[in-house]
Amino acid sequence: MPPFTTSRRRLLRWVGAASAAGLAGCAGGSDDGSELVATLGADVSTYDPTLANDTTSQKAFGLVYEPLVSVDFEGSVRPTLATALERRDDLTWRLSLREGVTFHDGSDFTAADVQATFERYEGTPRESDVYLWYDDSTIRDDYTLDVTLSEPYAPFRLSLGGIPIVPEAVATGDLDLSNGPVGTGPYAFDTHEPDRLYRLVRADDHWYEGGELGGLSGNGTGDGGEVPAEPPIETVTFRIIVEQSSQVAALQGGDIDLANNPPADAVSDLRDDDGITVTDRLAGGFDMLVFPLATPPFSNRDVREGIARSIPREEIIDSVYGGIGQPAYAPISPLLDDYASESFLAEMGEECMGYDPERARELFEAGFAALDISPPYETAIVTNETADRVRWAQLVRDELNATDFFDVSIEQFEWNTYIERVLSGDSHRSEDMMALGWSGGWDPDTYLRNLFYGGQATPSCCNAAHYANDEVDRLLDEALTTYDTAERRERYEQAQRRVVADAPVAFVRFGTRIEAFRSDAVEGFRTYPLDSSEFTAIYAPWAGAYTATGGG
Amino acid sequence: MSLRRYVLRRTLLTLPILLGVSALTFGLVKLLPGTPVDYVLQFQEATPELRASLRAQYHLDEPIWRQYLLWLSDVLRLDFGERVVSDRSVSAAIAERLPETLVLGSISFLIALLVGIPTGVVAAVRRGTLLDEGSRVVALAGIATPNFWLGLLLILVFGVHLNVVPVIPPVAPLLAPESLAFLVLPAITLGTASAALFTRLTRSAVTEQLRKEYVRAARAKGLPERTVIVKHVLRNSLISVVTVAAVQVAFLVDGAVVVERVFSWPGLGRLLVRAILQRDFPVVQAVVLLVATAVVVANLLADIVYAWLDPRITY
Repeated sequence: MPPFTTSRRRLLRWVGAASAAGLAGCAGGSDDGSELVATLGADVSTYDPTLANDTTSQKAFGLVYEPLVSVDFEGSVRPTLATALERRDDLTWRLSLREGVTFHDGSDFTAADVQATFERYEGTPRESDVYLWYDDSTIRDDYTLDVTLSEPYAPFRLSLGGIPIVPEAVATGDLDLSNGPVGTGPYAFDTHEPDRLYRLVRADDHWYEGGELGGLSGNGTGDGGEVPAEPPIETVTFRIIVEQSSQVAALQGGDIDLANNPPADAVSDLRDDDGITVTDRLAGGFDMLVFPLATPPFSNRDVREGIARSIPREEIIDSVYGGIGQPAYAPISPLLDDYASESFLAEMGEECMGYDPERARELFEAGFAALDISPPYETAIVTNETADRVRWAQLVRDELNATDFFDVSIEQFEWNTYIERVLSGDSHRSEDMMALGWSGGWDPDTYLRNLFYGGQATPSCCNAAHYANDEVDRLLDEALTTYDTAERRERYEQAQRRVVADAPVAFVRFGTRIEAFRSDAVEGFRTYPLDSSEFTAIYAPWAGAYTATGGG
Repeated sequence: MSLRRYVLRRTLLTLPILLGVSALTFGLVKLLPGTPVDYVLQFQEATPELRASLRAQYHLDEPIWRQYLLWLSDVLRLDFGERVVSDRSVSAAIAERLPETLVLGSISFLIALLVGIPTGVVAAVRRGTLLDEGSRVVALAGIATPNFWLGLLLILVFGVHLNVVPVIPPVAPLLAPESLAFLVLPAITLGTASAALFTRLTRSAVTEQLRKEYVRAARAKGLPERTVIVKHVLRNSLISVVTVAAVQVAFLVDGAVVVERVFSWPGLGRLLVRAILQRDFPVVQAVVLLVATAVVVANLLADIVYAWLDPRITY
């Protein structure tokens, strides 16, 4: 870049900002005028949590709504709108709510809002968020709610973290969320110009007043001590930029401060740019290759293990993902300290999943002989058009085609066609393998149940292999209804061992989240492991996190 | 037949065309794999009851001809219904983005005409010179360059390396100076192919006219060359350009689908692409119908202007 760029950019920015303010009449009087310009990769489709099936909408209202509890950067449950969660018995939880909280429309936050929030999920696309566990609730007083579960539910506290609380008036029809989200969070909704921008402004009277927040029972103490009582950034503007290369260009050109998930091939360029900081962090989720279990030769366990052992995971991470990521040999992400460990993953790799072409050849020989199929077997890897996924599928294809046992091709489909294929009721009878990504959350159940439980076979959910193992089902059910972490861990280990040994899918890589921001404009930002909560670090007193704008 | 009757007849003829377009769009969209319900539920667990109630909500349990009639009767009352993916109305979604696309399209169209026609005239007048050959090469390149690539190239050069323009639209009203300044690059991107086409077309039309008797007569009369070209030749050449210009309106919308994405411009093109990907049928149908209407009307106007420009044309 020529040397004059920086000053030129500053000048233009200044001129641009001044004239824009003059013409637009400037939204709201600003005292310090600090603004963070971040990006969203798609337009915000809804402000209503019961309708939001896209992470973009969830990100966009994440700073506006608050749940009862939130999950911090390490996966611990922290108090937010609830101050305590007390388990009365296996089915009853007493929720103590924070007093003195108001919604952005001025109404007071009470137990009635919580009850109404839960119950309005019924019959909506996100019904299962609440009705997997919710049976009934009783309002004891304005700030105490007893919730009865339909059965003991171990991820109850984490699940609450995924339910943004809305005012009761929404449920009664007196408040319409289609005009904008109304929550209790540190930022209030300002404007949304479709496909252009979405803007939040600092809320006037957020309940947090500085100091320690304390922890929930049995969860250590909270660390909110150093977080200022008011978010340092006054305005958060999200520019909606669909094209990834335009996002990167906008960051390099100084038009935006923060970009999410830049494409792998742009990351090294961005790292070379002095003015830009790139962060990456292991995320909750993995890529995998799903086998149609009803179709030979995939019906044979040896063949499946052989394919799992033919996946060059290290090479995939190096050449496709620029060295970022971690090989996956089992489903539960190492993000979950309590449920995953390096040694367990290594053991699974050793036992079934690890790259070993020699062993793969033996397994293919045995498997093809047992099935009486003469190689090469013609098949395909079905994938959507995500560039990185296509590239790893190609590496797996090359590896398999080098064995003489397979003649693999890649079949790419547009997203909806792909979804219809992989989630159709007879996905397990397909002739082809399926390359699929899965994003899990903070609870181990999210990495296993939807993919490996018998009752979750497509089309009811996402068990595309139609894997059915009574022992796995039993372990998953027990683990879901056991509150004790050590006991749960034991069951999930057993379930994973079973799944890995049966190899209905081959695990490929644990995902990462990458963010790039302007070093001089953004201070203190941290990458949250789950994409749907990307902007948590902008202001999260319960997690001890906040972001400020730099001097530039 | 008088001009008035011709206009009336041509106008009435557009109605069956629009009806045909609407039926075709409706049918084609339904042929796409996947339904709004699949999109709404994605990778979530769903009970069969929930699936059934969502299907009923989008009338997916009705036979397709009934779905079409239901939709058509609403459309005739200018009610395009609600979006599948959000709780906003289709008309509002379109109204928010229509001005953006119109402004971008108009500027590109203007650039295409202002660059294309003079270049074509000059090339024809200086036929066989280096200037002519040069314009032909540039025009060919202009038609052949994918606007996606051209857009990214312009962004990299002017937005990142020279850093003289913003990469994303400024936060300002649509017609504010900085918005219009921002639109220069997208408009060039979008208008390049049309400009090239106009150049080629004008060049051949002018070349043809220059061979005519009246040109020799005008020159013999002692008229300055400038008057001959601008007043006589160009006027006669424009007839064919007008027809093609009308068709180009459709290509501008077509190109906007890509250009709006590259330049993050919040117009109809982006709405349409996203609606297709999300199986947001009501939006796809409404936008396609709107674009089809625009093209039909543009063609109608072209026919009328054509008839008016050249009274020898029989109708």
